[in-house]
Amino acid sequence: MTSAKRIEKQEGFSLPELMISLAIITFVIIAISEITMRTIDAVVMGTSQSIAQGSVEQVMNNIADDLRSAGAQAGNAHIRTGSNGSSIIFTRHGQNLDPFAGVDDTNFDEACYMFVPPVGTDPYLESYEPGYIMGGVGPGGGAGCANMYRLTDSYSDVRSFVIQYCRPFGDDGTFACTTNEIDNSGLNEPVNYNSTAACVWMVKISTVYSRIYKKKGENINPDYYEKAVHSYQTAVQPRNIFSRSLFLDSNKDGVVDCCQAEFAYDVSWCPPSQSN
Amino acid sequence: MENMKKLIRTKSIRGMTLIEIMIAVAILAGALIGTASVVSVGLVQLNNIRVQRAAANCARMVLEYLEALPPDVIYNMSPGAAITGDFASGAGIPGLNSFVNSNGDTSCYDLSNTATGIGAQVKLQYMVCPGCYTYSYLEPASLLEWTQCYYIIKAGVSFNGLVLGAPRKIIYEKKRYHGTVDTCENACGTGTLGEPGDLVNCVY
Repeated sequence: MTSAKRIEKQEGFSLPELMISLAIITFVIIAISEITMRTIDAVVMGTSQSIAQGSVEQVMNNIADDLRSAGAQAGNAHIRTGSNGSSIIFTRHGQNLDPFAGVDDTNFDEACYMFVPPVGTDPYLESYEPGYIMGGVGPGGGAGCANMYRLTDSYSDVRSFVIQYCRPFGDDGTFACTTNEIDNSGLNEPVNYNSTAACVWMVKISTVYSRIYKKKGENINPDYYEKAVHSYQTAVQPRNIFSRSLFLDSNKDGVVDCCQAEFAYDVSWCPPSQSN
Repeated sequence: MENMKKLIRTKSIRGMTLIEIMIAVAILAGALIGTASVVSVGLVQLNNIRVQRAAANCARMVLEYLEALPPDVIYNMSPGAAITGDFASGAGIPGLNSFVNSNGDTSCYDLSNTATGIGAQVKLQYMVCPGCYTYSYLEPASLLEWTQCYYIIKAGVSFNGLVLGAPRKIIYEKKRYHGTVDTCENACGTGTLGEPGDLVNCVY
């Protein structure tokens, strides 16, 4: 039957025509739905990833800013003994931020950061617990930094957080970084002194993180979720830690920042009394 | 009843023919393909933003590394001439790659490593331009004159966008005060305060 005749008789589809039409429409609807769902999924995942990224990187930048203001006060170490690859506590030079505790509360306060690693290896398992970064402020005077709280948000899974203490050696300025625990008590005999490399210290902080995944209770191929894992790092020079070659004397007391200029040798860590 | 049948049979409420359905589906399919194309381009651009963000972080790490070095050490590496390298080969600034690529952070390495998929497209490289200038200052009261030296360090990265866009650059610049006359006195010439002397600069 031709279309012209069908129009004349005002007939609808035959059953085969209807079946074909339905098949085509169904196919198109499925295709549209698939594209829509994938788009929504990409947008939701991207948003979730952006939130995690923003949170972790903001925390990292805040830590870096705090480290820039790290300094020493007579009797208080610049970066405290016991700081290592996963935790750091240091004096915030010229900052007394905790509640005032009386006339003697003139100590510069501490800032502290610590990494709590994730529990488990598969983020899709029910038993997995995401990692995070904690931070806090101490009362100063070497009293410690006990009051810590979580910094990264609940969308972020911090897989690793590494603190390194770096210094250059040799004329080419090559850096050596270590996560070794800081020990200010010894102040060992200096080594590797170079006229352009003394006293240059740098703290490098690195993190690997992802967003938090929906737990599905079963193992997932790591290749899938690893694609959403990101890393971020930054390196800062704490206050008063400069190269001897700069001969900076920020407080104009005649003593070069970090280490005295007349020191003809290096030091393993800036002694507080000399890192003005 | 007869009137109702006539009404139903009017031309305006008839069903669509198969040809009409096919044409409609073809139009819909075209729109669908167009939509998919827009989504695809959008996702590529999102990836480009991620690459750009990662590249900017790499450039920042280069400058942070250089900031901790005495400026004359940097200048002596290549006075007035650009130093180029990438984060995979090890060429360029000594020790920079081991500094940037440590602690499981392979983002810069991956973007530079031309053997991998994304590195082969992006081809991330870094450039460092150590420049300097000096000026002489005559202190009016004492009539003492001295020469001071400034180092200018430009650090940046260049990379290709994914699929779309031309090669891109991200450049940071840092002026560092040396305070003493050292290497750059001989290389830069002298000037007066407020009027920098001959700038020894480099281009990349």
